[in-house]
Amino acid sequence: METAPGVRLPAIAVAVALALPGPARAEPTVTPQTMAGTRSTVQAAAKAELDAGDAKTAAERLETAARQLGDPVLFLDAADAQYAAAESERTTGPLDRADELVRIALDILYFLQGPMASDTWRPVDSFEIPTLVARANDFLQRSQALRAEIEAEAAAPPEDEEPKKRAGPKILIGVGAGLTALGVAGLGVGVAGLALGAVQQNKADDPTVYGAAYDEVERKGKVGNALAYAGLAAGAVLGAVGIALIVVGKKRAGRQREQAARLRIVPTGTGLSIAGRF
Amino acid sequence: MAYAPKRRIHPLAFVPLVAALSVAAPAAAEDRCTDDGTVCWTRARGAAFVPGKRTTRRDRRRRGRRSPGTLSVNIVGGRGSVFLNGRYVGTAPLSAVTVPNGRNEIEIRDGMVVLASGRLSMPSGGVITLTVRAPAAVPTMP
Repeated sequence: METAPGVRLPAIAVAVALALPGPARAEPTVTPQTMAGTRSTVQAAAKAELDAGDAKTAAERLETAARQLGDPVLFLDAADAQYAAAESERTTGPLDRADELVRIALDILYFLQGPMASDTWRPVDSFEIPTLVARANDFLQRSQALRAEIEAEAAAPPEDEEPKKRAGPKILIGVGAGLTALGVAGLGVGVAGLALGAVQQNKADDPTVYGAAYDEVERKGKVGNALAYAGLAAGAVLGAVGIALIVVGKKRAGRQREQAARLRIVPTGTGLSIAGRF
Repeated sequence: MAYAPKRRIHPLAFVPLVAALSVAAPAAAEDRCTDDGTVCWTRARGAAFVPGKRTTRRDRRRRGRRSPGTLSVNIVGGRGSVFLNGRYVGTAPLSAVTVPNGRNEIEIRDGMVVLASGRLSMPSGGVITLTVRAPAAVPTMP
């Protein structure tokens, strides 16, 4: 069968047109309804993970879907999951991530209100946008509060850790008193040594004492001098340290008395008063 | 008149010259900035960014008929999300984002603040990198 030339030309044109690559397929239109359907699937899977206590996995699932779809609601949900992870872990790392996710959600929400928004990409209804913006701003505030709480916890020493042991004022005063007493005793020995030395010096000055008696006086005099030097030196050092310890102990005792809250009945009998430094 | 012998150039001397000329030169990258310096772009293979311009319905209809180009976005001193032809494509820094050839609309914003917006002309296989300086961002949202 022969084809008429009038039919052949249009047929060739159609064949050529079909053989040529067509225009790139347009991106699918996104409406609040289509997005809600996709979103609910992701949210259901994430909820199961959150209920199982796996906030991290839920957050990752929500964030991956949010980035692929550009859905501000899923970005906010992912931030909420990161917040839950931060709350349980007591670390600020998930909060940093959550804050960025909320900022992306805000970028999208403000963009959807702007002039460059497209009719073919509406992940949320226009009337929902103010509510979602409020949710995002509220999240940033809650995140800031939790961050401050976690940082304060990290800065404070753990409760079970024993406080650095500092000698109590009573111990200081006791040791100080003991050292002072030893110092006084030392000074006493020193004075006794001086007295002994002075007596032996008088004997040595006596012209009737000589020979073996003089040697004995000299020996005793040297002992007296040694006792005087050692006793005075040791007494002075021990006494000074002892007095210093007593002073420090007294000061600490005074500070503790000031810090302790005092509960007493007001002299007028009108009630209780609590006093002290807090 | 003094004798001046004619110097003949050996034919082999032309070989390097011909070879150099026949090698295709790489697409030269070109750097440009807006007058206030808030947005700079490095373009190659004919890609172009026109700040503040929008696309027409005709541009949108003709978009994406041939092979796409690629876009990269960097933000200096801040952050921002990138929207191409009315859709969220990612948050900066972005690299090698596929852009349909033709005229496209781009907006980069940090919350209420539009950091950059304009028309992105992308030839087949075009390449463009936008660098936005965040501190000088211009607030335009109500």
